[in-house]
Amino acid sequence: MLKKIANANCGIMDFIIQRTTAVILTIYSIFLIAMIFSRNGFNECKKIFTFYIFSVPIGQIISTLAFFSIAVHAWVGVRNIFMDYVKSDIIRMFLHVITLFWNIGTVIYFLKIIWSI
Amino acid sequence: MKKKSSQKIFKNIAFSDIIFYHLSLSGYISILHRISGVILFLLLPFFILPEFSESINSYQTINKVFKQPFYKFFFVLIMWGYIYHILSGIRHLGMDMKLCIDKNNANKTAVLVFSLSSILTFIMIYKLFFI
Repeated sequence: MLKKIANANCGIMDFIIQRTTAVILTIYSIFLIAMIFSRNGFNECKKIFTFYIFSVPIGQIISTLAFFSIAVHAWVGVRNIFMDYVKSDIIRMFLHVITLFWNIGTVIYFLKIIWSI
Repeated sequence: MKKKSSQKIFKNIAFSDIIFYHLSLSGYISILHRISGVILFLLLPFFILPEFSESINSYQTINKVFKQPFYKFFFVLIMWGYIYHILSGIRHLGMDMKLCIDKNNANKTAVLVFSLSSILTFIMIYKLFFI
């Protein structure tokens, strides 16, 4: 019965999710690089990040959406790796739980930093 | 049923055989794409430090953190993983749209990905360690 739970059901939704989150993340990376090059601050990237992106509400919202996309993209990718290499169902489900904790834990850590909770 | 000695027994490939298997260039790109994804996933909390938050006023502390060699090593790994994963991901999306899927063109895009990622990683290492 575990075979029906710990596998990808049809695979098409996860395929599309990985591709769209990948496109979203490349657009976000281009946005970050454009911010760095527009202020001419290749030597002071950290100042640009703190003062121009992470302290303005629109930058905070865009970064939060990007981190959610990272979490979803990473979960689909790592689950594919486990499906390829781990043959026992119980161990694979245990590893799924651990990676979900790591994933959602880092998202909570990012939220805590960016929104100054 | 008695097995004949000349009958081949087919098993899955062993780990000791996989390491020394001859892969094409596209094969190396594919497995490195997976490995860089794992590296990025394991180093995910090191993308952003608490010094980036608004409640800590000065950004002088961020410079002190970046000068420590311990964080510089993680930063080099994150940079290589990120650059490599994005460039070979773009190549992967191009292959999904049937862009360069025959043997010669795929080799050309593979060489492009390797060279671009190495150049950009060396530029980032130079900016990190020598400036």
